[in-house]
Amino acid sequence: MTTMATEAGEAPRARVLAGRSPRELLARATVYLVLAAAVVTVAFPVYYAIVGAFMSPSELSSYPPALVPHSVTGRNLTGAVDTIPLARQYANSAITATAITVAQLFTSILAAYAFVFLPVKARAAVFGVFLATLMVPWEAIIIPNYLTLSGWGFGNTYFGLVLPFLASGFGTFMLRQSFRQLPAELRDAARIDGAGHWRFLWRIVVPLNKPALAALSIYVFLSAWNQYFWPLIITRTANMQTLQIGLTSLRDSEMADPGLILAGVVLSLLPTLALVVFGQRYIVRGLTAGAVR
Amino acid sequence: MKKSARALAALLVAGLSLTACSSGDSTSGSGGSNDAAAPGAQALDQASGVTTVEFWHSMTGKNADVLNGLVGQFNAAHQGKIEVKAEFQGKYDELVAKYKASVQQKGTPALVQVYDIGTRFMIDSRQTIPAQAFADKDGYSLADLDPNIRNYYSVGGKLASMPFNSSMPLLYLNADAFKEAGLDAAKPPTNLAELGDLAQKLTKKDANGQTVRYGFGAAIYGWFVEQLLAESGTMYCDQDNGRGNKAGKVVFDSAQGAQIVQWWADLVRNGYAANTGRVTDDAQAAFKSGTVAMHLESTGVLRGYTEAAKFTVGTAPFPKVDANSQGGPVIGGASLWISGPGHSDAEKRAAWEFEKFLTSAEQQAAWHTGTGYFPVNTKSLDDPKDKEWVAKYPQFQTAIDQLKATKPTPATAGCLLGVMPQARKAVETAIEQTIKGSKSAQQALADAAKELQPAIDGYNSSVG
Repeated sequence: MTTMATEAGEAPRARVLAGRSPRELLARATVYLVLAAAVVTVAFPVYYAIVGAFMSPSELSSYPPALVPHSVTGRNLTGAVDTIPLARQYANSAITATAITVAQLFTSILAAYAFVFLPVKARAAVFGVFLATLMVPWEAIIIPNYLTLSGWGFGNTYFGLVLPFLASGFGTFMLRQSFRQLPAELRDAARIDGAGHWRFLWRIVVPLNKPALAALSIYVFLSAWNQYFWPLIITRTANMQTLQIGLTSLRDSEMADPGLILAGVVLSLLPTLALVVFGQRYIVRGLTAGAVR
Repeated sequence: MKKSARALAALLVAGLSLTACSSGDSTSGSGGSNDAAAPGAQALDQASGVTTVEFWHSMTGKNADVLNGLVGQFNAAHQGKIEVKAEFQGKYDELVAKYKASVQQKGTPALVQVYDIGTRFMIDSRQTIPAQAFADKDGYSLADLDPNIRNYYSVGGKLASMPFNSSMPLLYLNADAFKEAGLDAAKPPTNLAELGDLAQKLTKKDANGQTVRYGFGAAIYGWFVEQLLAESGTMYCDQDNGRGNKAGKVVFDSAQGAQIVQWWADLVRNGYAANTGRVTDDAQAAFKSGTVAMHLESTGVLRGYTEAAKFTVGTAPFPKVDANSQGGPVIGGASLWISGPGHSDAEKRAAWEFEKFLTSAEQQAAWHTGTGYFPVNTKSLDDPKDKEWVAKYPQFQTAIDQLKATKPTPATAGCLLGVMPQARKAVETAIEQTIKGSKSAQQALADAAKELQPAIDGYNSSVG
């Protein structure tokens, strides 16, 4: 969906194709055809969701399906806003996803730093325990988590929504791999300049690992934003539900109003799309930045 | 009434039964029999402060809006005395899963909305006080409740729960397709044979022999077979549909059951009926788009259909099996259950007050016109606002007349079975097998009944 900026100095297409054998041209054409098909496959559902959000019920149920709206109606968007406390649920999703992202970044940075730069006893064993948490399927611990948190009275609270996700083995693992790339000279240089662990971590390690941190935060934010089952069971009232749960309430108990649901889906897609579109560029830029100059 | 059991919900149930100390019987040790007694009105009068009623429901979309409006009205009228907290708990299946968990944690809600086919389970959970007990205590008349709807939620002549949102099945017609085929939608088919004939006449093919419109189409949904069996006046499960004693087996593998399933499969196999599979949304889309001329659905979708369809939507009574069938449709929907164990007398009374409010003529009229559900209170239909709504959706009159014409019998009460959701799925599998042609309808239904037996036995022995 995003176009990569063409590298400076790339020759115009005509010259790229000139002087190539027919076989090579065929191979290239095939690649482009496959890529075009992939783009259509990925983009069409998004396109139809956006278009369908503005179609009337009769147009949505016409056969053959209408691919372009003949008339634009705001009925679905207003209906979605009227049916569920959309603004509030938007805020809930944003608060939850942001809190989880910030907390996971913080805990992962500290844990990864300890694994790389501190003389931790039985480092390999402790790290093994961290990795082991990745092997436990989330579905298997949902019930104990639910019983524990509702027992502590955190049911239907923001705390209950974020508590199980404040730290993650995956984040620690990913940042540890990234921190290990740092040359040891950096640590020595910082020490000679009198920087302690804390200062070295925030002034040097974190700025130099921006690409990994950006990638991790985007990943964590998106998974938190798209969570379904945990928010469903830990919340009880519409005002505490996240947007993903609100979307299911748009579906009537008796029948589906596709326009209404598409309108809600499009609204919930916006942050995700924005993050992917802008975040990707950030990651690509970050990857090309050198670490040691 | 609409479902789609989520794998995750199933997982939740499975997980909870693992974490529970005892599965099945979960009555708290506080003298189970006394808990079924209804407290008198003084319990609420003597209560100090505000009595909170936690109310779990499954209403979504517009239906949830209307419900929250009614809750707000009730709370305003009982300011400082009662506060009802309505909480959406996911779809019907998810709610029942959560309810099971709450029983084990001794934290049940004071009031809970459970779908029709969860009725037997709710009785067997022994966590609730029958609505009848409150009505008897107060000398409160239940006569205004529709007799057929009351019939469904009654066991041994006693009302177990308070009906709230009801729907029933109708035959939906595409009147434009009828006209095009030179037929009159005002003369709808009344039984399966007539429906089959018309389906043949209404099926339309284009020049290439591709079917552009099927005469008939409905979701492969066990509910429709339950309805047609009731229309034939025969039972779905034994012990008079589980209305006498607890049902011990299903009897849908009868001559009538086989006739219904075979009829359906033959229509599909001959190309006169669309097979859109089990998902109701797909069958609904086929009818709304005009690719299916006759269609089975509940009253609950009428307003959505009139809004979405580009043709004139007609309704007709749900078809009988034979011309001389003596039965009628079974109501679907959900009812409200008041919790006993673990709740104060004031809470129980407050929940009962709220039930009476929700089922009063005026509130049911508001509920009916706001949602399209069938009013459970017969007096609601005389309300001017309600009459206005029916005038706007004249197709709804079919449902009113259909219910009036239905005599409450064990057949039209519908089957009470603890494993009704599984029974429904077994019948759906039987329909699919018959359509595929791998088995005759008779054989497929007999196999379904046989496979269900262990589940029925297991359930019955677990609840004692």
